[in-house]
Amino acid sequence: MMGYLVAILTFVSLAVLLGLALNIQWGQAGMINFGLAGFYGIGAYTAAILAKHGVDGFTATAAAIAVTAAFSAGVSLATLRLREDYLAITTLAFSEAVRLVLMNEVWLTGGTDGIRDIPRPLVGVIGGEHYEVAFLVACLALIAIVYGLLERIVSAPFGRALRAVRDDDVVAATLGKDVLALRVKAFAVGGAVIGLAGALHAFYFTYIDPGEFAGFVTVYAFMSVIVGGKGSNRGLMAGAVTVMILLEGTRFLKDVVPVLSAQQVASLRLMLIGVGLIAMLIYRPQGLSSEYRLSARQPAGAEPGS
Amino acid sequence: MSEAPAALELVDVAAGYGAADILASVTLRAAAGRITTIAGPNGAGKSTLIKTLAGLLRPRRGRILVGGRDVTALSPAERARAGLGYVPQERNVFRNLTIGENLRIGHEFIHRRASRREFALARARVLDLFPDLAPRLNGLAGALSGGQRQMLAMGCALISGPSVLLLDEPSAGLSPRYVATMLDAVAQVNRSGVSVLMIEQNLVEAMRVSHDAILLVGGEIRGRWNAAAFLADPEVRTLFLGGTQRVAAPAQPERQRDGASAA
Amino acid sequence: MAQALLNGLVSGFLIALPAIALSLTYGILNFANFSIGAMITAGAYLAYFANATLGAPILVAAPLAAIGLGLIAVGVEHGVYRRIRNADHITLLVASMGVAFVLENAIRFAYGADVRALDVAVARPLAWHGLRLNHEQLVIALAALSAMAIVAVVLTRTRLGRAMRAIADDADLAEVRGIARARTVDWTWALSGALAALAGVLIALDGIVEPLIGTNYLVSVFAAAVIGGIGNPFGAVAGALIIGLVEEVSALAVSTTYRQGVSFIVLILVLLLRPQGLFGVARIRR
Repeated sequence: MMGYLVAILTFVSLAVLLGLALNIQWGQAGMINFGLAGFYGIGAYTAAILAKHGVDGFTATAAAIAVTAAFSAGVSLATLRLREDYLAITTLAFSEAVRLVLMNEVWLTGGTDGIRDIPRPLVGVIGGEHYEVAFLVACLALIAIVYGLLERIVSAPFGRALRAVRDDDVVAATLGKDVLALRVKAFAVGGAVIGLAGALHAFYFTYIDPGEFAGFVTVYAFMSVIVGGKGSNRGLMAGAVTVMILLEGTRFLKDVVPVLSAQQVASLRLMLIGVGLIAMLIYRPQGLSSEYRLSARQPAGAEPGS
Repeated sequence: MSEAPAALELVDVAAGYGAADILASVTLRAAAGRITTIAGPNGAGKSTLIKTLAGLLRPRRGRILVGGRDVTALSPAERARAGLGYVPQERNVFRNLTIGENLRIGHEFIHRRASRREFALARARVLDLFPDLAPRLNGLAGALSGGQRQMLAMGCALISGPSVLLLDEPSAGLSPRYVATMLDAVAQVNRSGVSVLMIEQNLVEAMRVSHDAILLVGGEIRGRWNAAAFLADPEVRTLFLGGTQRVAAPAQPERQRDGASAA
Repeated sequence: MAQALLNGLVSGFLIALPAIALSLTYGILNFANFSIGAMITAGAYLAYFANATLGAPILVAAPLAAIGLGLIAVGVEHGVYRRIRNADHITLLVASMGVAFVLENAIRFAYGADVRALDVAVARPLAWHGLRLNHEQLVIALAALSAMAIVAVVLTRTRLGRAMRAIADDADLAEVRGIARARTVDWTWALSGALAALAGVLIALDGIVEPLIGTNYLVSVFAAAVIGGIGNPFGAVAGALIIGLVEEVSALAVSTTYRQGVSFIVLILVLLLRPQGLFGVARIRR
């Protein structure tokens, strides 16, 4: 039971990191990242490949962060002046391209077999027995650090400028170079956090394959942000936990409905996540914890009194 | 003159965007068969008023009647079918469609069962009024000059044979020659029996063709004049020929509104 | 090389159908429908259901799939998009991803991940001056061309088409002119669903039915729509032909597994050099 709890909490930690990343990209800067899974994959594979080549875990993690941030900045540059849809399209296409590389460049990524036996950092020092717990503690510490940094960004002039650009049509339409640079930075910061989460993923599971970096990862992250209330880091924590509880809770669905195969139960769970996401957008677009919201946003074209 | 049956009537209408009311409580009647011009300084709420009439903005309170029929709950499309023609100030033609298609769209969704011949007759009437458009039916509306576009917009509103025509600054952005042509066309349309309610900045030209004038300041009706007497009134003279700042309404709601309508 | 061009043309016709569907909904609803890939897949499975499960011949199964997916698309409009009140296009975008997720997993729930095939007779390829044209390719080309011709006629010659173009041009003005927006939007989804379904059937005809067949075309479809100036259905056809040709010709140099990767590169280049598409006007952030 203890082991299960530690495992679940580690999953939740990874989900929280991804959610925090999406929250600065989408929640704060209004930049949609439909390719989150692809960036996550880049982070995980960078860390795994380097670790397999004898690079120590910390350097490999730092490299994963840097590489993912660099790719994020590059992708966001291509659509900087265009409407949000274009970034959504580009990131999604990017993530498909990443998936292709992961599956086909066998010499580098192992193809569909993935990478096995990824050496964990400090495993000799901590020892196998308590490693999982130590790993969880490290994850929680990293969340605290990332949270602290992101909160500072949110309340700094940088964060205010981001939200101003996101919310004000006039400012957005006449973007100067500095403001454009802000957006690239925001997307790169988010990318760095995704890279960190990817590296942690690789070291935690010690085995990765392309199937783990598919669209559902992106959907979970969006779900966490939407449930938590877009733009709020505190809400995001609650959101990510809620989504993971939902996911884990529905795992027991097959005990309730025994006629279904494992495959059907899995599909049903994912369907429920999708339905939940849509229901949130319809009924509670401000998230479940709206009191944490940083800025009330009047949607364009709102009917008065509705 | 208020004995004449009302073509258009507003009763205690309040409307606005976001938190603020731009129109506080507007009650007015536009007499049937006449041209009524609403005048007022910038930010008085003229555009808000006409958008509320057209149905693009829902009033928070009050009633709107066209020819005695309550249209408050109707959508813009339903109001158009109820006989209300509307010519917006900007973005008043479908730029990526041809002039012929624009005219056709003006007719076919209001007279859904009209025959080809009925449409051809309606179109011929509009082209008589605006002969400039006739040779360009297959050209894109977006390629027209400002004045021609204004004519097309008016033609599109007229082609369905509305009982009331709403015009949002028909002379805005036109060269002096076109201003007169445009307002003469308005007078001609009115002589054929269409009641007109318009907003106009060019008051001297507008009063040349109008019958009635209504003054709107800060979201409230300040008074009603016979067109001939309007420009001679001392209050009107102070307002438009000096001392405008005194009554200028806040500019902020005006900007918000533009943002909302563009979205 | 000539063979690659021929294949590219056929594949371009195929991509054109969902690219038109995407452009129609983008123009009229002002948001990018990310469920277009899942809709293609759903179309293929609807045809599979009618064809393999109910035993209908493919000529009956294909229209059934088109009608079925058209109805589903209208249902999704009423159940999801229309209910997200006051939504900006970003919220709708995210909602469409949710719809894709539900559709894909509903298909997996019903049919699992097994690879299936439609029940159609295999015919010998046609040969002409050393060029080979599969029977399936001929069907794809003819079906896609007919569908495109129908869409073109609907858009330019019918009241519905004028209503759709009017709303795409200026939704407020369209309302003022008496156009019922909700009903026009319903028809747009129906048409969009039918096109996506037809694409799904044609893809299945040329290969197999599996849960990823639509997703595998997603990047190509978006790239085609962007090249055509997203929201412009006629541009989308041109964009699709370009993407089809580039993908096939590039296959002479790089592995065919990177087909989508090639589309991604083309997409990036277009966004950098000519974001308004080859024929359109860029939608700057506003």
